[in-house]
Amino acid sequence: MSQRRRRIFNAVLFAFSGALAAFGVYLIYLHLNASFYDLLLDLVSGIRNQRLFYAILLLIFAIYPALAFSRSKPVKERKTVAVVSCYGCDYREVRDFQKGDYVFKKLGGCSACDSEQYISAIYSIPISRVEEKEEAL
Amino acid sequence: MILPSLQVLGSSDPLILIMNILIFVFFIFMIFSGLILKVQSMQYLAQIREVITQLEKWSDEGKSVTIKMIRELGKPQRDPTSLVEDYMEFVLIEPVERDPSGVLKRLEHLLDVRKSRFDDVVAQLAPAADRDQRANIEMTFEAALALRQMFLVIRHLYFMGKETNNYAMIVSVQVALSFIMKYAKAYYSALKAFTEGQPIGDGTGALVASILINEFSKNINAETSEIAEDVSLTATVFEDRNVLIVRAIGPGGRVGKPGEAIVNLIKESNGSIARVIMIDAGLKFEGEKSGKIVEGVGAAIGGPEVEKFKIEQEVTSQRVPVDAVIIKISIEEALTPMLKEISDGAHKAAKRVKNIILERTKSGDTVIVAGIGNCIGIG
Repeated sequence: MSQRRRRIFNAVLFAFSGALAAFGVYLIYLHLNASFYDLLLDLVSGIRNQRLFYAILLLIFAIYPALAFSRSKPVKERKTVAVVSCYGCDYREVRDFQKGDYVFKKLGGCSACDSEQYISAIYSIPISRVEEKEEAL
Repeated sequence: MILPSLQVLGSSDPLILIMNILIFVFFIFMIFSGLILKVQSMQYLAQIREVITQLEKWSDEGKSVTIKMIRELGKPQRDPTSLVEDYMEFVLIEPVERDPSGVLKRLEHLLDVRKSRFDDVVAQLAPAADRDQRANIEMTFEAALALRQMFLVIRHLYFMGKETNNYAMIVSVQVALSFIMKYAKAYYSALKAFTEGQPIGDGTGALVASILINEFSKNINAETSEIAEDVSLTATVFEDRNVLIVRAIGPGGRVGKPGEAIVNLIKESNGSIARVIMIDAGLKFEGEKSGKIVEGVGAAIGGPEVEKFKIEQEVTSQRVPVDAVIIKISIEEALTPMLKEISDGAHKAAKRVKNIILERTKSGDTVIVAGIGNCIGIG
């Protein structure tokens, strides 16, 4: 469905739900402010309860489309990171993945020792976890 | 609440009376006119239409990503758009199965022809790209092609259902939508992974092989050679055992023919292979954790079963035991950038393989370790 059609569909649905909800509220008003005649009639026909029944039914119908057509939760964004390690020492750095990176790619000399640095792992993690890690650093 | 609702037409309030009559007539009409099914069909068709729109968008994006990648890496002399469009609906006509003898050989031949066609097209489209870049372009092309096929199939079923107004057909497509979208989403996410050369979940087996090569070759100069199409062999030593590690050649997106490699090794060894250990990513059951390790026996290899058949035939004739180590992942995780849980699982699987070698082989034995999977982003 195109964006324009979806907007029109949502507007019509919203208007329809609004009308149903308004009518439901009106029936509740009638239920709460029953006249003497209504109360008398209620003894034989149960009219007040019927009004309440329809009021609740209409309110459910009004709310249902909002629940049914509500958008699902957005998918968590993920980010790919590369773990840089060293063959000679405990050096470990987690940085963003760059084009051309691959697991076990040799990256040259280590700043802490004479050994070689390499990418020991590449994996994706949720962005929130990356932010947490950055905050911790 | 129930009692008043049963008082159909029993009210003297005109408002309620009208509503009762309307609802009564409405339900009678819905039941006998078959309108309920029509309304449901319309709802389902609307849902299918939404999926088609999404699939078309992803399919177009896949095509444009492929073209952009070819332009960036391949520096083509002419516009690649028309050739890419031509190949977007490339089909493989599967061999006849009514006469099953040799069906896998015929399928292998067709798959080889298909691959060589794609190799040629990519080489023609991207003359400046190196071997790994060409492999990645091919993988991106395949993902775009899969998205296009999904779009075409679902659109076909949608029009068929709409034209014939076949409720059962519409319902069957609607039921399958969530699964189709799972696959489509996986292929869509794979586009990014293939374009950037990131490791994917399917490459876990190959990653385990790389971890073992890296570990076993620390103190020795291990030799690596191409033993079969796009498959490398690294001969190493672990605890006095000769370990022959087989995996696809990375870091480009390749799967290769590991079955052929294992068969060649067994034939050349003249009966000296004590064990074959195969590592691959396998589909997890819903509720299982990604990256979980499972052990078993048999040829752990997916795909069109051509390679699996070759391995099974050879190990059976030579009576070589085959162990399987499976790293559990979901279908989406197989094609999306590798999750941390799966990467950690690969390290655990490597430990498990070492245990198998120690426990089930003797000093001086020769063992084949085959890491199966797409080597994209794994060197």
